[in-house]
Amino acid sequence: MLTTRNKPVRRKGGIYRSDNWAYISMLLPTVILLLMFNYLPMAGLLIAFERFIPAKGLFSGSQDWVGLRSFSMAFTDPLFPQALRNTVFLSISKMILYMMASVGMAILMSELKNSFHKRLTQTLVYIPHFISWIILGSAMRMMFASDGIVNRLINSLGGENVGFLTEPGPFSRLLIVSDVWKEFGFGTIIYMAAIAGIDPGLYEAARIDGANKPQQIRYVTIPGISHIIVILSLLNIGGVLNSSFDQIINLYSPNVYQSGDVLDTLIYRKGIVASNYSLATAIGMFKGGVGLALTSLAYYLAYRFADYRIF
Amino acid sequence: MKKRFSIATVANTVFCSLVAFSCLLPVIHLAAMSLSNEDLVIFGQVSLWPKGFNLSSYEYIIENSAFWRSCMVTLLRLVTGVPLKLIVCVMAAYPLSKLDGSFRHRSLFVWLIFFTMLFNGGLIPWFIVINELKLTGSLWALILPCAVVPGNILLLLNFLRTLPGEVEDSALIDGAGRYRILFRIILPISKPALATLCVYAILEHWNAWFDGIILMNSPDRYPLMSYLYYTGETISFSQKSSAEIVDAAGMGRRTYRAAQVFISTLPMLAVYPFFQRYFTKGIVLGAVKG
Amino acid sequence: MKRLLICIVVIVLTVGMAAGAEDPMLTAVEAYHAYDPIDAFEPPIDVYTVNYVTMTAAEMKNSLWLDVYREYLGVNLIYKWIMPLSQFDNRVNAEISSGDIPDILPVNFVQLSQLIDAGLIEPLTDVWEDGASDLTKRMYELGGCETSFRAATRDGELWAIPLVTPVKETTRAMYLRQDWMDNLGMDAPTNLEELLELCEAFATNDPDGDGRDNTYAIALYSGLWGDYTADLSGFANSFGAYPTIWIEKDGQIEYGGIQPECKEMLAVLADWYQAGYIDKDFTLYSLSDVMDQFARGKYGFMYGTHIAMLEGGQVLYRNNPDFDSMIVALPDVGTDGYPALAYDNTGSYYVVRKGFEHPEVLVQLFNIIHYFASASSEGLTDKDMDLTWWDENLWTGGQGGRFPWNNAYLRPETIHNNIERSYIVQKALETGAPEDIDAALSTGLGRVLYEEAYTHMTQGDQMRLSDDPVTLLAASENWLHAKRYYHYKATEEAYGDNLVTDKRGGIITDSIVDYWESLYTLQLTTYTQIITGEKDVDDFDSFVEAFYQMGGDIVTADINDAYYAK
Repeated sequence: MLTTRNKPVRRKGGIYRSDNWAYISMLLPTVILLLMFNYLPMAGLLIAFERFIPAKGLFSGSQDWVGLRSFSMAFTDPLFPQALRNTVFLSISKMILYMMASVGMAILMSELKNSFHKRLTQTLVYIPHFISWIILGSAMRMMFASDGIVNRLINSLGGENVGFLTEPGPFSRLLIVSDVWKEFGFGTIIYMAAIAGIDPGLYEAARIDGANKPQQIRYVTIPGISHIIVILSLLNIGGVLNSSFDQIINLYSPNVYQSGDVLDTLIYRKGIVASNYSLATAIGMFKGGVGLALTSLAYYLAYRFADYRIF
Repeated sequence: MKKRFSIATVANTVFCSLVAFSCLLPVIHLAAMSLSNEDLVIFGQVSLWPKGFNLSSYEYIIENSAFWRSCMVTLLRLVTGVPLKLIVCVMAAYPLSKLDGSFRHRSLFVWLIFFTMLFNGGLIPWFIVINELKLTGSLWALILPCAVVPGNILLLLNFLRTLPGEVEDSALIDGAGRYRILFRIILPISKPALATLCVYAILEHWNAWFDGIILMNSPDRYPLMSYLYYTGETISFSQKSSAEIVDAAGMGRRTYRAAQVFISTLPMLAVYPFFQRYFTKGIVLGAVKG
Repeated sequence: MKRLLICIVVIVLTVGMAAGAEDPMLTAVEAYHAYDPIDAFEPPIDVYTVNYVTMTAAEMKNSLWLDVYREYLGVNLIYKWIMPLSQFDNRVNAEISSGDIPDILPVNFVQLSQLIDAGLIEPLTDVWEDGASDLTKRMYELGGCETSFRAATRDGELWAIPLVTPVKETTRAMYLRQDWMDNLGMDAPTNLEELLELCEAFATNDPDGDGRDNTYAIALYSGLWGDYTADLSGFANSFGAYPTIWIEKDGQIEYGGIQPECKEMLAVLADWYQAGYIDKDFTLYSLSDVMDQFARGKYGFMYGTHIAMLEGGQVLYRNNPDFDSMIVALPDVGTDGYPALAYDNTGSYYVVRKGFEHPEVLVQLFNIIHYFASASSEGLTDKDMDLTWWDENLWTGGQGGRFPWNNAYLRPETIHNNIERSYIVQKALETGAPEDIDAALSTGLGRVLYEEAYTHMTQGDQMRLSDDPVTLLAASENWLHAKRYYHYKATEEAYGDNLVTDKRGGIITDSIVDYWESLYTLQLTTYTQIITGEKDVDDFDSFVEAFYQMGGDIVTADINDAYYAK
């Protein structure tokens, strides 16, 4: 992160004490665990630059070094540009819609007066998170088929059949909406917690100033949870090249590769002939690199323009 | 003050109910499926009500001692893994939250921790490390590698920064150590954040299935999700004895998967309501004013 | 005092019983060693291995077979780990990477090639020649295993023992709905023209008699082919088209998917799609979706193996009293037509790690299961020996369910000799003569098949009308297995030895690893688009060009080199 400005942030009249060792000791378990289970395996990133054959051994040194070959094979694959485009489009659309849905629902649910209704709703909305895509996918294939319940409804309202699962355009929209539907409830958890943490005095003050409900929401609630929104967006932006693999693999078919084939499904298929670990690792590095760049950018922008340090 | 049933309130109630209902519908459908006869499910006749009612799917799952064994594994995993995740997260987030210069090497650790969110070596190196540490096959393989969740640390870290700095002042004046401050002062007023993290930690351990399958040496030792995933893949009647067919008549892969969703979801539905009472207002404020 | 007396009585009785009783397993051990004199290892040696699990783990780990291996072979087979097939390769690859190979290991073809190159496994040529019993070798020959052994051989040395399914058991047939055929008054098609007529009749002449236009010509799913049912490659076979394999054409190996015969087939399908004879949703169907549609009465037939009716068919059988299947060989295929497509029949390759002192153990494991499957019927033991012990415990019922042999470490399909067995059982059913029935009951598997087929023959019609789900399930299972005979009869008679297999079998090159997936995706997408009309049939030619440009030329050249070098 571009933390060139390391000037400490201090309160007037506050007490400060440097406690390096105490802090480091607190971080020790985390660091040890990460060194063992994240950094040590990271040596395996070398696989991306080799033509990796398991039988030759991971660190034996007898793997063929091929440099950037896996990367170039990936980038020149005829389906790669499409997969990249789809990945980015789907990710960003989902992120935006997801944020709107979970923030929106969290705010609305917080305003529910009846506490039983509130608790019930909160619990119900996070159920879809638990339904695996295997079963949700098979249910959706039935529901969105040309004689499925959704199209029958559309027909009865006078509309024409929509090829949700057979045509690229509707397919991407289906992917986005269904994934958000499945996950937004989970996102409301953190926002409800954040909303709960807002000082009631602020609402009081707003009411005294004559603000009505929507205005209270606009001027108290949303600013109050804005930092969480920013953090979560930042957390997500690094993962823009990830996809809901389980969802797509259960819903897609060659007809809709045009809008539904993403990096993860492309790698998956390429690994079927012979598990192509080199390619998978190369794409993983590519994703990481892009994620690093975007995260750094987001951090910098937040710092520069909102004076907000996310990390 | 009298409750005002404004249009906005009513509209909100209706809207929220609709959304909640849309989330409930598939669940009802799955419940109906799991209690139905597989053939009727295949014929597409089951929508929101069971047809050919039978409990075979549930019996098939529950009467298998391997199922209960896997529940035990998951329980052990929760009891050990969740506290570990929480402690690790708390002890990492507190130092990293200090922007006041009291932690000189903060940036280094920030990089160290959050870099791992973006890069990893892949499945094989990860497996090899765990294998070399002789953890494969043991419960610790399900607990240690996933104990650090940088995303959760980030959330807690930012939450801690919203706490007013004054809460620590008196303790600092008294010369209290950082551990004491963290556990005696900071944590008690961080209940909403801790409750959220707790929910996340429980769900992460509950839902994890891949690590169980690839790190455990035999399905005997699978946690619940891994067990359900693997039995779902191997349902076949042609190889069963007549005694087993009795149990399995009326069910099949679809009803099994539906029942599977239930069994894996129900316990978790109790988790969130349990923690909801911590998501209440004014906890932070009380600490400072009082 | 009283208690002491009781204790003494109990002890005496127990000792007496133990002394007087003969362990039936050990008696069977004697019989085995009399036939196949091997020296069981004394004391038993530990052999470490891994496996993928299809039954429950407890059954595998407590399997009686492990005791059998210990008693018969002196081998203590220890499972280091077992796991579901889906992640098996990943874990094996990971362990191979860290050099941690168990004594015996099942691998796939790619892993085998890599292990040979890396010198991590023992050669097995001598071990197999000397160690494999005549019975095992004969079973393998009957099964048609040349391709598999060829794949496992490199420079004249055998590096793995393949697990083989007899090639003739992989053939496809047509499963037609008997009730629809009756309704339409049509006979099984004997050539391509009649087949196409039949399909169109299925789509247009309301074969289910419900007055609605809700039936289709042919079942298709999004993957088009490659599984045990709804397999387009069976349909293609009747055109002389082989879209899924590499074939020999004028002395060269070429990919079947780019040949003009495929274009012909696609033209027919495209017409049908436009006419509405093909389900517009087929592109989104998974295999189980299409099975469901079959159960809902959308299709008149399936192309598949002997388990083509495994899901949809059984459901129909249970719920529709008129339904039955007619099993017919593919028209224009076989001895009087195009070569019949036979499939990859090798499961895993079993290898032995380099440095393991007893590679012959692997071959003994193969021997012993072949022996138990066939000994009693092949007259290879003293007929006075009581064979009930192993028939009952290792073959049927007993511990582990209907087929305890599933818990054996190795489960080659060759042990069953399915085709011959089906014929014997059928003969017994037809003639009812005591010597025929004896022949059928002479092996454990034969007994099961005979009982099921007999129940089906005598009570099947009644059972399928029952309301009890257990009876229904049993009825449909019996029906499915009884029909196997007809599958073999149809395919054996019609195809004979005129079979063709993938010439690419046993070949893996760098170009295949690099290019094949893209080429295959191109094929799948193009075929689907031609069928749905998104692309014109003539676009097939540009597909062929693209195939060569995208690396298909390199792959073809490599495969030709590798194939003719062997």
